[in-house]
Order: sequence, then structure tokens, then C-alpha cells
Amino acid sequence: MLIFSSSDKGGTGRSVTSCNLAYRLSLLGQDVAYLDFDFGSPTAGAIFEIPTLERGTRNGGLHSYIRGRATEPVRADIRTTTERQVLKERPPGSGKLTLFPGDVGGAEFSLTNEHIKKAAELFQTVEREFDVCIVDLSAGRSSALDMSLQAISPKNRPKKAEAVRWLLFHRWTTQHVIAASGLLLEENGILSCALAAGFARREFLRLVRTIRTAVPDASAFGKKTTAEQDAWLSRSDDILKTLAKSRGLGLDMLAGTTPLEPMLLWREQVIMDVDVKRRLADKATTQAFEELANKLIDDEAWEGFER
Amino acid sequence: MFSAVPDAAPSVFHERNQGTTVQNLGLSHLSVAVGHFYMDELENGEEPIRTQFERVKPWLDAAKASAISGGERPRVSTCFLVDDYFQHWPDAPQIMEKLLRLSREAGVTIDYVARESACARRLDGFQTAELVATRLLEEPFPEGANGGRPPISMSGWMSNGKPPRESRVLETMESHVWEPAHEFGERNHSIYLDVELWDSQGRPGGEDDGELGNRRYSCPFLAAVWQLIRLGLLRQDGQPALKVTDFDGEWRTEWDQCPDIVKVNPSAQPFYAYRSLSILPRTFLPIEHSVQNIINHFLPDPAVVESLDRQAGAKNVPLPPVIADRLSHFFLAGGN
Amino acid sequence: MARPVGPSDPGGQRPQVVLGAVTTGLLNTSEPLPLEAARQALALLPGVSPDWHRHPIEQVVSPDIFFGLDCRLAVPPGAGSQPRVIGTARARAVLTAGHILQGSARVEVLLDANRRRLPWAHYAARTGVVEAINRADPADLVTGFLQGAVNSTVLDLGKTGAYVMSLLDRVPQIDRQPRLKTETGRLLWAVHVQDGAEPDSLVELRDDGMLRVRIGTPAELLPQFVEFCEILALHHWLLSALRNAFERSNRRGRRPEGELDPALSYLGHMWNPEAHLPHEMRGLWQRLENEAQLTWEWKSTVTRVRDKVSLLTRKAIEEALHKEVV
Repeated sequence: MLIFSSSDKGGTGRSVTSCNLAYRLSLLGQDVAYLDFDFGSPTAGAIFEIPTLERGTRNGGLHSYIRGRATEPVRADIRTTTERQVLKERPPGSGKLTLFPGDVGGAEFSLTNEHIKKAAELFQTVEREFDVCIVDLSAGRSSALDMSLQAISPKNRPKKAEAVRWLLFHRWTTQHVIAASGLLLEENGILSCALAAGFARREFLRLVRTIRTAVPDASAFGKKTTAEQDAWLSRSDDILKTLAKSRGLGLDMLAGTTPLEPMLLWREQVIMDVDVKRRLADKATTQAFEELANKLIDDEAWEGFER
Repeated sequence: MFSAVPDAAPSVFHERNQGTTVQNLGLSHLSVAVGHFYMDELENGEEPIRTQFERVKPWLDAAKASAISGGERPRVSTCFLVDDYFQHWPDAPQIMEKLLRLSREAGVTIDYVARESACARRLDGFQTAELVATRLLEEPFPEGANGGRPPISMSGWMSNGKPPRESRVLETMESHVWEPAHEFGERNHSIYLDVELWDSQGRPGGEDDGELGNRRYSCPFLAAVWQLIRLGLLRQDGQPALKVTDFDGEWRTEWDQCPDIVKVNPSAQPFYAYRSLSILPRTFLPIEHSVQNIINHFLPDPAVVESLDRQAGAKNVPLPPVIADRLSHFFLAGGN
Repeated sequence: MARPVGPSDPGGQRPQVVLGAVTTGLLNTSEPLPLEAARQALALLPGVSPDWHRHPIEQVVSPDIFFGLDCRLAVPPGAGSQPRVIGTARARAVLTAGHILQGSARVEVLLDANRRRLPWAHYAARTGVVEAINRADPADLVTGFLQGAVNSTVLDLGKTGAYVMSLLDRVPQIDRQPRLKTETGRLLWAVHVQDGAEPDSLVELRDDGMLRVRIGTPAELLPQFVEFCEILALHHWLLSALRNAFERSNRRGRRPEGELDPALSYLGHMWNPEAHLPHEMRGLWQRLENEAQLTWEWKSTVTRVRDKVSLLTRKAIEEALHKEVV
């Protein structure tokens, strides 16, 4: 299965959520590959706490591969290369967790057919080994995004190939909802790119789901909230829901919600069950990740919230 | 350890299906191309044709006398390549009659006549040129190829170095400095050469990946194919890529109905040869320079090389390993 | 295999070191390719047909293709500077039983050759050979290469092998729907050519999962040794692939049959290391078997897989009967 992670703005928690989903999926017994397509600033190495890959690799990462400068991209087994002790352990029944890093100093490029061919070949190669491949795209419109859409379009991907899911991450604020909707539906957005790549509108939108990240609840105001604060929050939430619905990002598109996690405000990292045990992280966070991970690999649950 | 073979008995079962067995060819010591004309020159007056053949004659005689044969009686064959690829004149019988008559009168015997089109595509539709195009290997950048880079996809050009300035679109924020051209195998100074191999007359939107039918090969490319054919280095399933047909006494009106190579002199020595000499008008100098550049990047089938080496070795004929060393040229002065 | 792989030394010079890599994986198809289709698919160059066997296991070998090289050779830490080499690598694809694909690449290293890069024609005439323009000790090159490429400045033939395998993804006979998840197997080998010396070899598996084979041998046995490495790589991959399938069948929330059925139908019948093993390599293989017991491990793994499948089948039948009774 191929999962693409996209977002309009930076700071949505797209990469960190995707890394956490990768980790959770591997706990669920899936062999997981994480492809860092954020060519301008690869970050997955830092999130998985792999010191040698903090800003990507110098030895032929995904960017080099796509540009035809490497016959196969460098990869790293996350559990054996991470600095984080608890992440090194592979629980029984869990699957592989592998990072395909980007390149140090990679950058935007102008897209050619050759790049699209490479991307399609890359997905093919990775899918031969892994159950789930998460492709983390940079924020906003990018060549990597366009290239990915072309590579998974019906023109290039066999009909019977494994499932594709397209995730759109946005934070739960007015600006973010408007921006995410714009990226998906406005001109030169994801949908119009997909249509140009050969998708039918309905067929592509069936793949897309949104993830609302860092959604606060009343506790964000502090330990004690006033009645006014509660009312305001509830009203704001309603306004946002109406806005999201009117912008085509309603409940029918929603894959899940992740709560505001203070740990992630300081440091983008994988939140593990031990962090909850040590009371560093909120249980709601790991629960949200796990629920999402389960939904992603369960076709019925996924299709279940199709409109 | 190796002597401790547990079962030293000779084998009973043998199954070996070698995909391709390379055929040993009948070989001359030297193949001489006796002049060249563009099709319109063949169409026009007889005098320039006669003059060129008369100028070829003494050098052909010299070549025959000096052919490197390792002590055997030298075998030299002559050939003439008809330019029917870029220009298409529909009066083959008349042109061939004129060509053979004028060469004979000048004392130059043409043994074989070949069509340039056949170097691109054979009469039976086989893409001869593809045998060369797929065996060209671009030179690696100095310290820039460790086996982990895919071969550069053929752009339709072949160079011997690095162009003076990065011609590709520069990556965002990558520094941009001017650098002079650089021949990779230079000796003190560079002679940088970039040769067009083909252009794609492509249909709009058509890609240049494998759609060979769309390619229009350049003159140097076809001339390189022609040299490799003469040297017996181009094979299809071990057989020569272009075969020789005996002249049946009649030229077809259309060039594309004529055989690929016709033996017009029944008593000629073999067409294929260890070495080649091309006697050409001086204007062909840049083309032959380009031919050499193409051939320098051609990687022959090792089995074919081995077959030729074996044949040469058996008769003590010296055969240089570098293909371009098997080529020689004489350029006729221009003007009249 | 049939195509001659002997050392080429047109200049009369002989390579002192030969380096190679074999990558192994499943061809990207749901079912094995029939022999005819395989022969078409492996015709990687026009004008040359692949070699092939039908018995006892079908095998097709592509013509050699070449890759330009200009890079450094790794040497062990403390052994001085890395020599620069220029020339071409030779590679071929091998398809066994229509389903297991290998990319096999190698270079012969000439030491004490020219001191600068020559015009390309020189290298084009010596296919499969690289020339070192700096001095180097053959033993260091063997050790250095077997460390594995640590960066993109040193020779990385494993990537060349992987590239050759990827060429087969593009042929029309491939449906791209294998039913089994597998990992690419990697093997590096290095030969110190020693005429007349007592041959000596070592097969090593490190925790990166890559096999390393080191041998000192006379030049005449090189072709057989290459075949030995290809056979070893193939069988090590078979074992890894079957174990991987078994391990995956025990994962959370997974239908074990989904892993075990394709594993058995794809791999179950494939074990036959001596099928194409050259005569001269039988002794070496035997020694390897005595110590590593690969065949024993294969048999016991297959038995484990079959046992699990029978248990699952019995359980399924019992459940069906139970349903009927209820």
C-alpha cells in the first residue's frame, strides 16, 4: 500500500504524524518503508533520531535517485540506526521499519517524464518488499507532489496494483482549513494536477482523506477553564466545522484527528507507549496514532467512511 | 581444495544452449572504400565522378601494395557506399551503370556496392543502427561513476568530454560558475567534440525512448555503422548484420528494393576485413573525426572480438585491440 | 553458465584482483516466466540471444552489458590512499526457474597500468577491466571492497547489479504482481588472483545481511568461481525469503496462508545448489555445506512451513465441520 502525506503549510505536523503512523503500523505487524520526499528539507532522519541522517544523506538518497544519479536509493533500518534506545527494540509480531532518506542539499527541480518513470519504478521496488510505503511530501505545491500524482495515475500504475491512500494534513484553525482546501481543490492544486495526470475526479477524491492535527481541547487554556472559555471553544469548533464542510473538507473526508501534544511542541519525535507510561505524553495521542494506523490498513474501515 | 573434487568422473549429461554462436567470417586484410559522392553529384555530369576515381586510383594501388597481411598474400577488397538515406533518387539502374563504368574506366574496380540506408534499416526491416546505438557507452566523468549511477540515457549526442558550461537547468541555489570545455582523455589540451547521432523527427508529444522508427540518423553515425560492418564487428545472432548478395544482373529501379550489399565483381576478395581504408574527398574530414569519436565509445560483443582475434592470431595477422586503430583514411584534395 | 566469463587481457596483462557483486530477488511477476518469454525478456541487447538451460532447473543468462567506471577503490583504514580506477564493469542478468532474478556484476582490476586517464577508446577495447592509476596492494583491495561501499566515491557493484535487475522491470512480459514480499539479497565477492598458489577461501555473513566471499585462486577458475557465487547468492536468498515469509506469517492480524501459500508455490521446489554448480567448485561447496549446513536449514524450514500449513488446513476443516454440526 502507498500512502502519501501532503499539507499546504509547514508546521502542520505532517512529517511527525507520518513518522508516528509508520512506527505504529510497524507495531501492527506491517513491514513499513518511509520515503522522505521533502526534497528541500528532509526531516525524517531527525524525527527518527538517526544522527547520520539528520538532514538527509550525502550518498545517493531519494532525490539523487529520482534525478537519475543513483541506481538505487540509500536506505536505513530505523531500529538499528536510531539513537533512541527504546525505538531500537523490535517487539515480537511487529514488522520492519525502514527509512529512505532524502539528500542533504536536495532542492526543487523541473519535472520531466524521466523523473516520473523513476518515481513509478521506485514505488514498485519498495512495494515488493514492504506492506506499507509512506511517502512524505513537502508542504505546498512541489515537483515531488506532481511527480507522485503522475506516478500513481491510472496511466502509469497497473489497475490491480495495491491500494493508494492520499492524506491531507491540516491544523484545526481557520487559516489552515482554508489553505488545505485551497491546496486540494483550487486551481493548480492536488485535484487539478491529478486530473491532468489522468485521474477521473471521483476516482481520485476517493483516495483522499484529511487528518486534523494538533486539535486542542479546553485544557489548552490551562488547568481550570472559565465557562466563557468553554463556550467560546465550542462555538469556534462549530464555526470551523461549518467552514471545513463548506470548503469540501467535511466529516466525509476525515480520516482522523490528533490531539495537541505538548511533547511535540518542543521536539518532533516518535511518541512511544513508554512516553505515556512515564507521563510525558498524553495517552490520547498514542491512541489517535494507533487508531489511524489501524484504519489505514483496514480496507473496510477506510471505505466505511466513504461518502 | 579444488583437487578434492568428490566426483572426478567425466560428465554424462551435457546441456548447453549457447544463445548466440559467432560465425567465423571470410576476411580480407583490407577493405578500401573508393571515394564517395552525394546522390546529386551522381545525378549530374560524369566529369567530376571520373576525376575523383582517377585521383583514387594511385592511392588504391598503394594500399594494395602496403596492406598489412602478416606474411600472407594480401587480400584487398573495394567497396562503394551509395548515399540513398538522405536523398532518394529513383533511377538506380542508370546511376549504377554510370558509376561502375566510370570507375572501371579510371582503373578502379569496385567489388561491392552497399546502400547507406541499410546501415540504418535493412531491406527486411531489421534496425541495423540499433546494434550500434545500444552498444555505445558514454564516458564516465572523472571520479564520477562508481557503478551506482545509471548510464546516462542517450540524448542523441556523443561527446568526448564535458561541455564548457553546464547546459542543463541548474538546480535551485546551486552555485553557477563558468568552466571551459574539457576532453576527458586530454593530453595537455582539450579537443572537445560533441557529435549528433540522431534527431527524432518525433510525432508531437512522442518520447525518444525506444521509438526507433522516429529517429533520423546522422551522417557520421551511419558512417560509423558502415565502418563497423566492414570490420565484421556488427553481428546479428553471430552472423554479419548486413549480408552480401551476388549481383543478379539487374538493378531495381527503387533503391529500397536493392539488396543491402551487392557483390558486383564475381572474383572479388571477401567483403569483410581486418582493417579498413577510406579514400574520401577532404570535405569528409569532420565526418570521419566524428566517426572515430562514435567508434571510440562502441563496445563490441566480446564473443565477436574473440572470434576475430582467433582468426587473426591463427594467420599471424596483427590486429589492434582498439577498433579505431583498425581504421585508416586518405583525404583527396579539394577543387578541380 | 554457458557464456564465457574468462579474464580478458588483450594487452597481455593479467588482473591481480577481480571484484564482483550478485544481487538476488524475485522477478516482479505473479507467476514464473515460461522459458520462451524468459529468453525474450533477457535479450537485453539486440543481435545477441541469451544462453539457456532447461534441465534440471530452467535458467536463462543475458548477454553481458557494460558500465563506465571512474572511481576509487576502497582500502582498509590505515592502508593509505584509495587508488583511482578507470574502465568498464561487466554485468549480466540471470533468471532461474523463470522467477528468481539475479544481477551479477564484476570488474577485473589491472594494477600498475597507466598513470593517467587515457582516451576512452583504450578502455572500450578492454571490456570488463578497470585500470588503477595509483599503486595499490591487491590484498588491501580485496579487504576494502568486501567492507561494502560506504559512500558514493568508491566502487559499488551491488548497485550495478540492482540496476541490471531493474532493467527486467520494464519488459512487457512482467505483470508486476508478485504475491510474496521479499527483500533483495546481496553478495560481494573478491578474488586475489594467485597463479599456482594454494586456493583459499572464506564465506562470511555479517549483521547487515550481506554475504561476503573472499578467495585466492588461479585465473583459470574465475568463471567457475563467478558461477559458484551466483549459486550461493541464489540459495542464500531462497533461505532468507522463506524465513521471511514464515516470520511474516506469525505477525499480528495477518492471515498466515497469505504468506505461506505463495512462499511454498514460489520457492518450495527451487533448492538444488548442485544443479549448475561447476565441477571444480564442488569441493568448495561441500566444505561450505559441512560448516554452514544450508541444505539442512532449508529442509527444516520447508518442513516447518509445511507443518504450519497442514495445521492451518486441519483447523479450517475442523471449523467447517463444527459449523455444519451446529
